[in-house]
Parts: sequence; structure tokens; C-alpha cells
Amino acid sequence: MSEDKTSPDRNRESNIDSAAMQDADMQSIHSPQLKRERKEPHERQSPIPISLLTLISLLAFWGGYYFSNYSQDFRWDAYDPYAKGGLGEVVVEEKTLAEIGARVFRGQCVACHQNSGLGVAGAFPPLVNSEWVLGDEERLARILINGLNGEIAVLGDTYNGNMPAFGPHGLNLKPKQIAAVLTYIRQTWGNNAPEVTVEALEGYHAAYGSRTEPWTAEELLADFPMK
Amino acid sequence: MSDSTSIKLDTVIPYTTNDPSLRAELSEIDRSIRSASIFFTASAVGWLLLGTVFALIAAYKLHEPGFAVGSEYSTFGRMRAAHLNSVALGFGNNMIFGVCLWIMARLCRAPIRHGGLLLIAGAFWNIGLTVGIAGIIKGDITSVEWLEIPRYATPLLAISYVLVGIWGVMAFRFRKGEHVYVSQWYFLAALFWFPWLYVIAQIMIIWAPAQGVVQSITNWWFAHNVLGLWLTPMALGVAYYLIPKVLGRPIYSYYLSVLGFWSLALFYNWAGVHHLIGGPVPVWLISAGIVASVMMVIPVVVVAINHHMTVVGLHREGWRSPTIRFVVFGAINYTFVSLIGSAMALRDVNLVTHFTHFTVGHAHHGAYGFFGMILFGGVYYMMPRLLQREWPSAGLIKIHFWGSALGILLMVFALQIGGWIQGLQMNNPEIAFLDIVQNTMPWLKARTVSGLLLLVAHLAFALNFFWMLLAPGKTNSKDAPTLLNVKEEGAAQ
Repeated sequence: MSEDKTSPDRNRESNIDSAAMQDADMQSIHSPQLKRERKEPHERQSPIPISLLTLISLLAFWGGYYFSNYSQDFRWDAYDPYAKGGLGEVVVEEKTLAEIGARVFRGQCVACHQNSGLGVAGAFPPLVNSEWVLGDEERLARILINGLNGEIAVLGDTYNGNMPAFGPHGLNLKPKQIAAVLTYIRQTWGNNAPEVTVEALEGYHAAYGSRTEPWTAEELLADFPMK
Repeated sequence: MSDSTSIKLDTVIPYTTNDPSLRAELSEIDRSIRSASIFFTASAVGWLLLGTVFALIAAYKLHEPGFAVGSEYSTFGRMRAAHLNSVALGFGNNMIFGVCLWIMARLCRAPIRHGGLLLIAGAFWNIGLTVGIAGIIKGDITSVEWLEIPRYATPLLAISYVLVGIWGVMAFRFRKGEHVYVSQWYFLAALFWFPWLYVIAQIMIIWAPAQGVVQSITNWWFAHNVLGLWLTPMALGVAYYLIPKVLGRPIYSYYLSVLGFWSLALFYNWAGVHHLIGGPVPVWLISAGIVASVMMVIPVVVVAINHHMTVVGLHREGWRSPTIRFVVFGAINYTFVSLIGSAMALRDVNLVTHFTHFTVGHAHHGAYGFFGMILFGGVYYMMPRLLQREWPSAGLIKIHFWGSALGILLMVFALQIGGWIQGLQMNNPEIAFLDIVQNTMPWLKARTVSGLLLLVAHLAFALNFFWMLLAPGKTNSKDAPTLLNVKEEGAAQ
């Protein structure tokens, strides 16, 4: 074995080593800790037990079986190991503008204008029956895109407007999301005004998106007076 | 050790005493790595104590949520991460650097060159880790499990690891002799696996994050492989060295060694994705992970047979040797923890154990019951050789062993029984979630008790270690190895 082959070398090396050795080293090679140590480890050549080979074969067989049954043909879009025959055509559900808008409303608007759309008396104006909501859609789109500051009269009450911008200089909603939320507030709580299309909103977006200042009620009424 | 007590073992294999040239060689190697190995081991002991304290705070908070709520520094999230990084990278890696590099040098029969530089590289590892864990406690923790250390500390860790790792590779490069022993395979492979895992995970998750679920896949590929391709091969390498070395018997089968090593290398890398069963990951990838996890039975059974056949018949000698007592306890736990792990990867079992304390028990079972215990055994064997002194107190070693052994077993039983019940209840929609949380309380309290046992064990270990290191007069005068249960016949160290 290799131990025997290498031992002459080892003796030669050790002679060189011991020639250069100092007292401390002599002491350390006679240390009891080293003296009682056993030989560096080596291995016997016992064969692999046949029962172990059987176990390995069984595991390999199981692995192949499992993998071929639950890998769904390596599809990137298959997530269910038990599904039969893959997923088939992926059906993307089309949502209406009002449905998308309901979601945007719950995320962005509900804190001030409330779930009921009635706002908070003295602080946030109502959307229900409001002439600002039901009236000219371009006027309404401007408020959403750029925000609104200053006094505003809604249904006979005056509010100190502080509406944030949702356009590119504000919370940066997409035209589709703004069109959806406008449609939603114009057609909920008994409101009944025509929907605001995505195309129309894209136009407004292009027209007012670069403006950084919020609107005032006076400016809006100057361009689009109440009917 | 007197000759009369060891006649029986002498007939198995001769002492090195018969070969002064071999002794001279070993003595030169030991001297070349002495200061670095002692530094690493001492650091490991320090991190172990610190990590245990973090762990106890976190464990206690789980059933007493009002404890230590005055400051944001001691919140559960930070304490848990501080614990994990202290014990995995502080205790685990320092132990590996200390013990495995020493064994590597001995097996390569090549003295370590420039041991002083190795010491400096190791110092930077500990500095980087201190900065990282302070960062975690300060609030700069990342949101990624197992990679919580903030990004200003990780480059230092990566660089100092590479510098330390180079010494292991260089020892191998300049080895003498033709035969490469199984421990060397494991050490050399792991020295390359760890930097690969760490750097890839850092890049794909922290520095240039991959999109979507690829990040999660990378995360669990990394986290699971730190255990499987870093801690596991290192601990197996240590066991493969110490068992034949202390008992004076060759390893049972070279062929089993080969089979065990290559099947680990082949299968482990795939196994990590079983952490994402039920997640939005393509199902073939999960299934591949499950198959690989079950295939891990092969290396585990192979290593178990190889170790068992080597130890068989020498149990009494093993029980008396502090080294073998720890190593055999760790090796037995390797078998159990791995078989449980393979079972946990099966979809039907995972349905119960996922998101429960069962997994936490499993992680401690592997990292402590297996890896930690074997490396403790390594320290008990290494230190007398490096210092040429004996361990001062057999009593403290016994406290260490029983505290660790009973502590980890109590922890595994508490978390896995409690976790299994928790999992069954969570799958039952009739049971309110808060009731389930309430039901875990007794198990979590048992876990805190187990942590206290481990703390006692670690204090005994630290006391014995620093006593040996700093008070040579007392320990130099001993003329026999520190063994356990010396009144019985037979001896081994």
C-alpha cells in the first residue's frame, strides 16, 4: 500500500529535518500528545454491500418514476404537479373600465372621498351628484392629472381644495387607470354620466401631463363654466 | 496513557511512537498552523457564546412577547438574524478554518506557509462579521434569509474568506504522497463550493437582483447549500479523519467513501428548492428538488455504513474519548437529520411541516446536532496537539457533552412534535389561527429550556478552553490524556 511505498522518503526527509531541529522541536516530537497518536488514517477496500446497491437501484427507479409523473413536461407555466394534460389555453379575463376603476378608487381615493362617495363634511367634497364629477369630462380629467388647490364650491358647500395630482408629476397613474376611475365615479352611487374612454384620457394626458402646477377652481370654471 | 491500558488497541494498529520521522513531520505541521488555528477556534468560542445569548433572547420573546421591548435593537427580527449569523458564520466558519485547515495540512503532509498572513486574513473575517452583525442590530438588515448582513460588510467577508480558503487549497497543491484521503476530498470541494454559493447569491439577490421568483430560487439554493455543501462536507471530513485516528482502525471501505462523496456532490445542489413547494415556481424544478432530496438518502446511508463499520466493537473506547463521544453523537445525528430532511421534502409531508416550527427544529438538528458536535470533537482532539497540554477538566467536558446532547435533543423533540401538531392544526380550517399559536406555547417554552442547557454546555466548553489556553502551569503537569469515565478499562484519545 501507499504507506509502505512512501516510508523510505519519509525517513530521508526526517533525517534532514532532525539535523536542523532545535531543542524545542526535539521536545515537541517527544511530547506525550504526539507519542500516543495513532497512524494517520487510511481505508480498507471492503466491497459495497449488495443490499446497498439494491437500495440505490430502488431509489433511482422511484426518482425516475416521480420525476416523469410530476414534471409537467418541463413547462415554465405549469405549477400544479397533479394537473392532467397541462394547463391548456391561458384565458386572460378582460375587466371592464368600471371594475378596474373600483380597484383604483379603493386604493387611492377612498381615504378622503369615502366608500360612499360622500366625502367628509367640511373637509373632503362629495362625488355623489357633484356637478364637477358629472359635468365636463375634460375639466374632471384635469383635476385628476394635475390636482386642485384652493377654494372650491361643491353642491353649495365650500371646501379648501387639496387634491393631489395623479398624472406624470404626481402619483403617475397610467391613462387607463385614470380613465377607469373617472368612469367608476361617474357611474356609481346613482351617478349616471357617460364613461371616459382610455383614448380620450390619453389625449388629456398628452395635453396636460407636462403641467406641474395644480389647478384652481377659478381657472377650471373660466375654461369650462358650469352649465 | 500507560501502556498496560492500551494493549488491546495496539494490536489493531501501531502507535506513531514507532515512527519518529512521522512524529517529526506532524510536529512541524502542527507548529506551522498553531497560532492561526488557535485564533480561529478562540474566535469561534466567542461567537458561540454571543450567538447563544442572541438565540435565548429570540427564543424567550416567542413565548413572552413583552420581554425586552424597550428598544428596537432587541426586536425578535434582529435578534434572530444576529443569532443565525453569529453561529453560522462566526462559530461555524471559524471552527472550520481552525479545525479543517489543520486536518487538511496534516493529511497533505505539508506545513502551512506564512501562517502569520493566514492569521491576518482570519482577523479580517472576524472584523467583517462584527461590522455585519452590528449592522443587523443597528437596523441595516437585508430582507433575505441567510443573507441578512448589510451590503457594506459582505465584500470584506467574501475577500477574507477567499484569502483563508487559499491556504487550504495551497496546502493541497503542495501535498506529499500519492494517496488523497477522503477527508481531503470533502475539504477541497467545500473550499470551492462555499465562495461559489456566497458570491452568486450576493450578486443575484443583493447587488444585481434577478427578477421575480428567480430571486427566491437563488435564496433557497444558497441557504440550503450552505448547510449541505459547506457545513456538511466539512463535518464529514472531520469525522472521517478523527474516527480512524482516535480508534486506530482504518475506515471500512474506500469504495463507500467514493460513493458517498460523489452522490453528495451530485444531489445536494438540487435539493434547496424543496423550500418552495407550493410556491409560484415551475413545477418541474420543485419536483427535481424533491427527487434530489430523496436521493440524498444514498450518501447518508453510505456514510452511516462506513462510519458504523469502522466504530463497531470499539464503543467503550469511543465513549471514553471526549473526541469520539462528540463525533459519534454527531455522526448518528447526521443519519437521522438527513433521513428526516428527505422525508420533509415529500409533498405530502411538506404540506404539514411547511411554515411550522418543525423546520426550525430540523435546522438546529443538522447545524448543531451534527455539524456543531463533530467540530467540538475536532477541537477536543486538536487542542492538546497544538498546545502540547491536556484539557484541564474532564468534568467540564462531561458538562459540555451532556448539556449539548440533551439540549439539542430536547430542542429537536420539542420543535418537531410541536411543529407537527401546529402543521396539522393549520391545515384544519375549523381551528382559529390564534388558538394554534396559543397551542405552540408549551413547546416554545421547552425550546427555551433546551437553550439554557446549551448555554451551560457552552460556558463549560469556553471555561475549559480558555483555562487550557491561558493557564499552562496546571495543565502541563498532567501526564495522561483527559478521558471520561477513566475507572473503566480500555483507553482511547
